[in-house]
Order: sequence, then C-alpha cells, then structure tokens
Amino acid sequence: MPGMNSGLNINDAQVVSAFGRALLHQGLIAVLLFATLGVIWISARAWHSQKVPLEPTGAPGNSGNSGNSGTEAQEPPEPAARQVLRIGFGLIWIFDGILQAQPKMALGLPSQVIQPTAATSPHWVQTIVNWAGTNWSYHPLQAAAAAVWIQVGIGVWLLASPRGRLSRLAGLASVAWSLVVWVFGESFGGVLAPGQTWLFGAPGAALIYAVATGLIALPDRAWTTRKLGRAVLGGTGVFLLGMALLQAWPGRGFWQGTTGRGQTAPLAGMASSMAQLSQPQFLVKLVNAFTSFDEAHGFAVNLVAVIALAAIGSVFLLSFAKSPEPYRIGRLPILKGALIAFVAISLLDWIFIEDLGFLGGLGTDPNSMIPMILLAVAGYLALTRPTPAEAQSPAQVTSRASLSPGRAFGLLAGASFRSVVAAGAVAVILLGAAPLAIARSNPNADPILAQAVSGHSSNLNLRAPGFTLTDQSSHQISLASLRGKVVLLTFLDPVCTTDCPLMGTEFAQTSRLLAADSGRVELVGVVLSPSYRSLSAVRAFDEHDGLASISNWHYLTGSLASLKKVWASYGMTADVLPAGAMTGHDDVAFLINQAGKVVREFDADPGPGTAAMISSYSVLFANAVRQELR
Amino acid sequence: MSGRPTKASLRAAATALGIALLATACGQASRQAARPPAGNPAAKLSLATSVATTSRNWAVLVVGNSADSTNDFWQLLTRPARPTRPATGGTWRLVTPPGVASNGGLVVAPTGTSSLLAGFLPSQELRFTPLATTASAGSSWSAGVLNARLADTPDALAADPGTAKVLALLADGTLRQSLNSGQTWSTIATRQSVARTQAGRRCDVTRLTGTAFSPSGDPMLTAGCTANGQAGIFTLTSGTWQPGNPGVPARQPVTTLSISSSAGITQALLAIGDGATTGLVAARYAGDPARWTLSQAFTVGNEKVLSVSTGSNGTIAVLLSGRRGLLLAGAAAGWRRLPGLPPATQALAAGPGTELQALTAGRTTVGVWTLNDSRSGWTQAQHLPVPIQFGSSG
Repeated sequence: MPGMNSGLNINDAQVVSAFGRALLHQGLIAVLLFATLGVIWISARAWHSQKVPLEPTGAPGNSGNSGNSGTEAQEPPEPAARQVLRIGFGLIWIFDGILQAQPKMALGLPSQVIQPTAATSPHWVQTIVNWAGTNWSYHPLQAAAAAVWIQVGIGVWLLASPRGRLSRLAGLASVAWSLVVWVFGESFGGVLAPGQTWLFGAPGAALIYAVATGLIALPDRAWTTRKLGRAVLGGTGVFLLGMALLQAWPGRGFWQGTTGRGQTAPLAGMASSMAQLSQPQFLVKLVNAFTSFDEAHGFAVNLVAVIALAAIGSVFLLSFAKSPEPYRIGRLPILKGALIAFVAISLLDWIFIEDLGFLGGLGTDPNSMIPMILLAVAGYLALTRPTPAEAQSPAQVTSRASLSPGRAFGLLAGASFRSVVAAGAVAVILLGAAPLAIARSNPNADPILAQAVSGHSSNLNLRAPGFTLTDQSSHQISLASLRGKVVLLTFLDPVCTTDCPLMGTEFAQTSRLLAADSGRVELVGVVLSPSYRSLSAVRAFDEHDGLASISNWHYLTGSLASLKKVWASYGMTADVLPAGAMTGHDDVAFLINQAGKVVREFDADPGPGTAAMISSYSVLFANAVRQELR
Repeated sequence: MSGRPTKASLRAAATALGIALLATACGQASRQAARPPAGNPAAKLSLATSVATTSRNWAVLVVGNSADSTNDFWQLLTRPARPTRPATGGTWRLVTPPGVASNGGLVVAPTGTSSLLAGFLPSQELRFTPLATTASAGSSWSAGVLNARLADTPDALAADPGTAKVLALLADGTLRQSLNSGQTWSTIATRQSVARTQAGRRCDVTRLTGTAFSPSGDPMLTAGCTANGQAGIFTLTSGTWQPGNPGVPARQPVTTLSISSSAGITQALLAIGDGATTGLVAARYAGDPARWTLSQAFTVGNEKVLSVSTGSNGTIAVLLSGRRGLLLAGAAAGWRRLPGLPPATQALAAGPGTELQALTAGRTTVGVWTLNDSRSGWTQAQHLPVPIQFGSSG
C-alpha cells in the first residue's frame, strides 16, 4: 500500500552487511595491532638479550607472571578469590562482546533491548535511556562495533593481567563500562520498574559486574585479611535478606501461580515469555515444565524461594562473626553449605526462570545469576583463604630515571607476554571507542538508516518534465525558472498523517545542512492530494512541519487539472481510498541538476520517522545535492 | 587505588551495598495504580454519536475493532427521513469524507437539512485539522483546513444552520469562530477569558468542553466548573459571556455532558451529583435563555455515560456502560430505560419520529438495529460492509 510506513527492519541486509564489514575491518586492525606489538616485543627482547641479560625491571605494569620467560622474578600467586573474579568476568565480558556481534544488534538493540527494558521504568529513567538509545540509533554501526570491541577488550585485559596496576586498571575499566551498561542498557537494572525480583535478575547483571570487578581494582593489601570476604559475603547476605522480604511482600503476585482472572502470575509469566524465544527444544520443555509447575503450585514455589533467600542471606551474615568456621552443620561448615545452596538455587533460577538469558531474541549477556555466583564464591574464598601479607608482591620501586628510548625499549623487552596482550587489549578498546567518538561529534545520523528503510536511489539522466504552479506565497513558480540550480523535488499530501509530515521535516533539515549552498539549491514540494490542495492547506503544512521559514522551499499547488498533469509526468499516483483511509500515494524524491535533468530518484518512504531516521534522510539528500553541486 | 581499607570502611561498604541494592529493589513496592476520578459519569464522551436534522440522520462510529488505533477508522453515515406517516428513516449509507485518514476521530455539525461540516481530529504526524463540508448529504465534499488541533469531544464543532457561522473548540481550550464557513477564523474565547468574567468566576472554570449556537445564532460554550451548582453554560451576548444557568441544585456538582441546538430549541444534558447519586437531567430552552426547563432526573449512579445522541424533535438518547441505554423522548416525557442493547453498540440514533436505532460496529461492518414496536427488543434492520483499508495509516 503506497504512502505507508514500512518500519525499520532490524535484519536489514544492508545494515547487517555493513556491521559485519565494520567488525571485520576492526578485527583485522586488532590482529594487526597484536601482531605489531608482538613483533616489537620479540625484537626488543632479542635486542636486549644481546646487550644485557633480562632482569625484572620492577616497572609498573610489567609484574605479571611470564608466559614464556623464565628470567623474570617469580610473582606471588594471585589470591584465589581475585582470580575467580578476574577470570570469571574476563570470560563473561568476552562472551558478552561476542553476543554484541550478533547481526541484528546494530539496529535491534535500541528497539528490542533498550526500549522494552525502560518501558515500565519512571519517566526520568526513560528520558535518560532514550537519550542513549537515540545516540545509538544515529550511529548504529559505530555504536554496535564499539560495544563489541570494548567488551572483548575489557575481557582480554582482565584475563591477561593477573597482578599489578595494569590488572587493577582493568578492574576499573570494567566498573566504568558496567555502569554505562547498567544505566543505559538495563535502565538501572530495572530496579525502578514495578515487579522486579532477584529471581528476574534484579538489581541488574551489569551492576553485579561493577561491584565484582570493582573488587579487582582494590589494592593488593585488601586481599590479605578476611575483611574483604566479610564485606562481600556479608553484603550479599544483607542483599539476599532484602530480596527475601521483597519476594514475600504481599500484593506483588508472587504468592500465586495464576491471577484471579486465570492469567499467568509474574513468575510463571516471566518463565513463559522466555520460553517463547528461539532456543533448543529441551530448554523450552524445561522452562515450560517449570511454568506449569509454578502455575499449579505458585505458593509453594514462592515459599521455597523466600525461605531459601532468607536462610542463605542469614548464614552469609555469619561472615561478620570473628571466626565463622566453627559454625557447622554436621561436618559441613555452615558457610560452605550456604554457598553450595546459593550456587544451586542460582543455577536453578538461571535455567528455569532466566532461561540462560542469552538465547533467542537479542541476548546481550548471560543475565545475573552467573555473576552473582562468581561474586559469592569470591567472597567465600576471600573470607576463608586470605592471602598472607608476606606472600604479596614487594613494594614496587618507582624509578625516577628519565625514560630514554633505550630505557623504554628495555622496559618493553622486560615486559611479560601477558602485559603485551593487556596493552593490545587496551588498544582494542580504543579501536572500538574511537570511531564512535568521532561519529558522535557529527550531530547528524548515518545515512545508512535511510537506505535501510528505503532510500535507495536510481541514477537517471532524463529531462525533468516542466510545470508552472503556485507556491505558498502565491508566487507562480516554474521548473524552468529554477534552471541553473539543483532542485530537490518531492510530492506531498498536506493532510497526510504519516509519511508526508516526516518528509517535510526531512526537507527542513536538509535545507539546514545545505545552508551554505542555499543560493544554489531549491527544495520543491508539489501537492499530492486531489482534494486538499488549497493555499491554506499548504501553508498549514509548512507551518507545522518546520518549512515556513525556509526561503528556498516552495510548496506548489494549482488546479486539479494542472496538478494531475504534473503527477502524471513524474509517474505519481494519488489514490482516493474509501472508509476514512488517507490518500494513497508514492513517497518519492527527485534530484534535478542545474541543466534540468532528473539525475536521481529516491525511494523516500521515511519508515518509522524517528529522529535518527529523519536526520539520516536529510544527510542522504544533502549528500546527493552536494555531489551534484560539485 | 591505594590506601589501606579499614575494617570499618569495609563493613560500611558492605552494609551500604546491601542497603542500596535493597532500597532500589524495594522502591517499586510502594508504587500504586492511580485511582480513577470518582463521581464523574462521563470523564470523556466517545466521539461516536448521532445527530438529526428535520430531514436526515447523521452518525459517527469507529470501525476496525483493532488493538492498534492506527487501524481504527472513524466513519460517517447518513440516512434520509422518508416522507411516510408515521415518519421513518431510510437506509444508512457510508459517506465518510475522502482524502484524510480518520484514525484520530471525526466530529460533525449539521449546517442545514442535508449539509454538514466534518472535522478530522489530527492523528499521528498531522498537527492541524482537515475539514470537509457537504451540501449534498455526503455525495460530494469540499475540503478546508482549520490550522489548529480540534478538541477531542463530540461538541467541538457547531454550525448555525442557514448562515456561514461556524464554531470550533480547539484542543488548547480556545474557541474560534468563522463567519465564512471556515475560510478564516478568529478566536472568541479562551479558558482564561471566560474564567475572568463574572459568570466564569462563579463557575471557577477548569476547561472548555463544548460549543453550540443558540437558536438566535449566538455562540455558546460549555465549561467544567469547580463550583457546585454551576452548569458551566455560557452564551456570548453583546460581546460578553453570559451565564446560562438552568437552575440546578446549588450544592450539587454539575457536569454538562453535551449541548446542541435544533429546531429552535437548545438542550443540554447535565450530570448532577456524584457517585451513586449521580442523575442525568436534560435542560432546555426555546427563545428566552433565562427560561430553562429541566427534565426529571434519572439516577445512573456509577454507570458511565458513553455516548449522547440527539434527535431533531428534542429527543435525547444516552448510551450507558453495560449495554444499557436511556431515552428522553421530548420535553414533556420522562426518561425511559431501553431494553438491553445489541453487543458492540456505539451510539443510538433517534428519529425521525419515534424511531430509535442502535448502531453497532465490528471490524469491517456496521450493524443497524431498530427498537421494535413493542419497545421490548431490537431487530436488525441493516448490515453495512465498510471497506476498511487496514494498514493504510500505520
């Protein structure tokens, strides 16, 4: 049906292909970066080994365990708790980065992930999230690629940096990015929306990432006593008790499997909705089985959840005791038992309610349970196996010597393999972030959006059919009178409720983009309605769509006979449809060069008409006009 | 990055972590659904309605029955009165003005016996109001434009039959008048300007809700009043908005649900009281605006008034929630409950004569049901297919 929105297809082949190409290009650059770093490092080592035997330099950032050199000083082992967090979250970030590389992500993240998450949050949250979503929408390729490389980079950085400042910096980088994801991607983890519960993932996976990897950023001495373990496990205990209270709170729908009207209650509803996503059949069966069970035994399921959360939370609070080890159930230390129970219940939730979190749809992470488990295990290890202070690395001596090229080369030669990989990871993060930063400096959207909706243009070389009509100021305008200027011509129904007002706004923005060339460009619209073609109609259209103040804009109208002649000469149709439908018409724009030749025809259906889409079209049109002006 | 974390700071951090997470997660628990306002039986009347002139009925209905409002299209139907005794109506036909998507709504005002002004409420990206006029009972239409957003109420347009005077109530609460059938418009009232008048101060005007012409051709408007005992009916006389107070009980809240003038009579439907004691009262005057007469009150309690229709002979037909309806057949008659209405009834059509019809709408059809002679049930009289263009405006 002409004159209708087609919507933005998140599978659009053009965008998917461009996203794939961007990832490939950046991936090749990343490989090149690593290869270059590797060659320089190997060369430095070879050069340095000829001059002096390699010694540990003690310089910041190079104190990691060597992957291939037996000449470096042996570092004390990393505390087990820290290692769990670092490796666990390093792998999770890489996994998340891979998920971000899904082909639909560039166009799909704002509409399929960000907006639905924010939909039930307060207005101010939606405002913040909308700002981020709009920014993403303006530059989807750069934003999506940045998310991939930043997350992969942080993951590799964490994995490659077991000790030292570089490792702690990796923790800080992870905290910063986690908070970005938590605020903008998860709408503050949904904690401000009604109906959230720990079982659904509150307070948001990314916040758990931030807390957990924040521990990695702590100085080494924080790991030498039980205090950190107490803080983590005790804090988790307080949190779980709160979650138990929330789970038990009456009126939130968790005590029943179905509502009084026979509808599925929140818990079964969540599981059921997750089972709708595309995933292996055995998982669907598992989740559906749980849904049925919860519908039948909603009270019992919630009772178990409340008791489990409260009991585990209470036991975790024992970590605040001076010596928690004596508390035992039989031979099993009670804390260990609680941890095992916590891991079990978290895994059950992850499988049966969160449905693993990343399958089907546009999953961006494995949801909150795995990070929660890692945090609790790390807390337990920090409490039960603190690393003695004497096992920590000796105070690092900072050299005040100037960094001459020779010394720099020496430092590089003394660096461990892992340090080189970590440096490469930092470069990968910058590789992802830099194009986005550059794109953000441009306030206009990527023209590929317009091309994704329609925006395809055909190159032509046809004589533009002439016309003489009346513009909004009652002036007679002929196409011949515009000879010598580039003309962007379209056909608009002044009372159209969908595409034409959007196209009018696109033309207004195009005019602003071409302000410097306004003397050489004319923007022309011709009325495309058999009935609404009065001057008052075109003036109302101009006024409401930002065109009234544009000096080189002409909205032309005339008698029905003269309009029909123009429509026919440009192949336009205006179908009067029955039963309250708007006039069916084409959405087309023509580019006419200074010699009066139609050189391009644009399919100009503006699709959903988002701010990004309007901006994208205006860039597309302006670029085409500029090309013709050259 | 450096600095030894103390026991106290770690404990504080742990407590803060737990409490912060708990507090944020608990924040949702106190959210409550907003309560619907109590007492007002018609917070917002549907645009579905019917009006009658001496020779014709017009009806506005929404067809599409879709979850997506862009696939619901408002339709205009009309039927002539047959020259029979007793008077009966002919068959309905679809005469929706072409060229504009009617998703936003349709508001009509008869301008003569077979002529009508229709306004399309702007929808989606459209920001002003396309108008359409017919002098041939909908066979052909002329286009016009009101460069503003029409109010979303069935009484947003009014015409003074036999003249070129038209009134339009805008969404921003402005009342505009045209003296040349909508070619040019001038503002004759705003909420503030009415509120500043002596009558407006007595009413304590909250918003303007509808407009009409008096039988003598003076602009009228209705307003919401905070003050009890005020109907909020005003007439522009000698350049001043004068109150038209039908003499409602002083201590009762009053809402004017609709106002119209026809055949020399101005009539308004009032909801008086609140909650379970809410009663509907028709107020009328002919000639002297100081001499209103009131009908008996009909207690509707908590039933909602969905749609109000008027006949040419002073009949008022009211569609209530729960497929119930009321009829007030002329000034002297009392209110009468109608038999249970057909499913999906959107409006009642009164007249010609004593004929009463219920208009139902489905996905692509309009059904017409006539109240049988014994007044005990409804008989299907007509079934109109409506060629909805699904997807044409979304």
